[in-house]
Amino acid sequence: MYGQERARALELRERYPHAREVLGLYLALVDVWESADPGGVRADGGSVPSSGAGEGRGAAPGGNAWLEWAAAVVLPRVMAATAAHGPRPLAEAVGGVGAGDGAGLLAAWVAGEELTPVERFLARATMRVVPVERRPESAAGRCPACGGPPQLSYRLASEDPLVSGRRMLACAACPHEWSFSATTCPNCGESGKRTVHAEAHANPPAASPEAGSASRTGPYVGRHGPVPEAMFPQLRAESCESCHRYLIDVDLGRDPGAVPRVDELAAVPVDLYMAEQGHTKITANLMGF
Amino acid sequence: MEVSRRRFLSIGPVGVLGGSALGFDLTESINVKQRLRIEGATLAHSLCPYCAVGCSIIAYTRKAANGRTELLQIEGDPDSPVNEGTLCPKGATSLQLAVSRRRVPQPLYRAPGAAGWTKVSWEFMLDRLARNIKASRDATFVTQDAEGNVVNRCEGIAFAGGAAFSSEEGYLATKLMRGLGLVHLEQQARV
Repeated sequence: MYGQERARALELRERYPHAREVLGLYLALVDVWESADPGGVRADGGSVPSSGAGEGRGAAPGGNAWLEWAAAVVLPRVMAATAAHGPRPLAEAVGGVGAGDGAGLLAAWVAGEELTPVERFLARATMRVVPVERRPESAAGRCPACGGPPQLSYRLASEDPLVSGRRMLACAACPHEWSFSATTCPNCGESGKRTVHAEAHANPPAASPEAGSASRTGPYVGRHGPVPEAMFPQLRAESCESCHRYLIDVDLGRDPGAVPRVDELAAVPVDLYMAEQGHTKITANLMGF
Repeated sequence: MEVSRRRFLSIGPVGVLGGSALGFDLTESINVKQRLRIEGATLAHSLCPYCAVGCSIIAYTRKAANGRTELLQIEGDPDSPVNEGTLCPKGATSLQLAVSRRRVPQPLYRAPGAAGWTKVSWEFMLDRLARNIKASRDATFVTQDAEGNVVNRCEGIAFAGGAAFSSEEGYLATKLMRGLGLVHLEQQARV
């Protein structure tokens, strides 16, 4: 899991100079997560790993033991990685303090309390390797596993060009991903006012009467391949004209090598465009975009 | 120094300096955003106009500069229990019904013996169709079969109905054609 994310982050860091800073920090965090989560704890929800931190061994996932372990073991590593690889303002803000009441910070994050952007970042980066408490009852558009909001949307690849892949949502609070209606807003449930924002030709090609084709203008959406000169061939944004929220959508059909959670971090220019259009992401990603 | 959770401080107002809430430099991202040409397309649910399977389609449209709605693309609806995102080659090209430059926008008529087609009005075309139907029916109408049974049927015309007919449209078409004595009725649903 982490190897795939690392490889993609390295690839996108080279491809997108604008995302070098964000992906550089993400790569440092991937190292932290991998070292703290050698057995894929988040995936199997097992017992608290050995850490020499308190009484935590064998506690049930979601209990305080997990938070104490994460505060004692993961949070300091996250802070060190952030101080070493984060942007200067963030590095300076994090580098000058100890972990303090780390368990309290994580508990506040889990409880959904209001946190500052830095606190949110530290809590999310730390909780990446902590199993979240499962909440089987959740609203439509929320994570069926933990009730968290969706971070991004992605389309499964299809081997057949005549088949549209299913739409999946990835949770912002846990690693869970689930299938969701391709034309419904995960935030408000509206299904009649969806807009897809995608790259279009800067200079549309002329029509080709011989081929019977009209002049191709407008965004390249659906089964279209991307615009040849597209900077983000695998990305688009889907917004709701009812609640004005949006999600970055990653099309694995256009780029089977994409790793949605990593690709979404590189979509900052698209996020800026959407903000300009008056839309807000359902929830900001780990890096605050 | 050790601090309580509440002493983790938010970074100052770097946003006004071209930075994000966490202090990332957004200068290059802003430059990229200004070079991007992003446009929006509206999603609409539709149905394939061909066979009776009734595959669900997602249509992407946008308002053109002249105010008209343009159809940009169609794809199978992955949420549909009927087709689960799939489309057959015919359905997948139904976009061409709307956007092909080869689409014939008005009736064309080739007179008997003529080498080419001429554009005609709908009035001319409907009148001509009615006359041809009547002529064919008159020429091929059978009142009795070989055994002398009264059959009153038209054997020279066949009718193919549309797969996307509603029940009412199908009823009307069948009534009309049976009224003319047609016995060769078919549905495009099976084509």
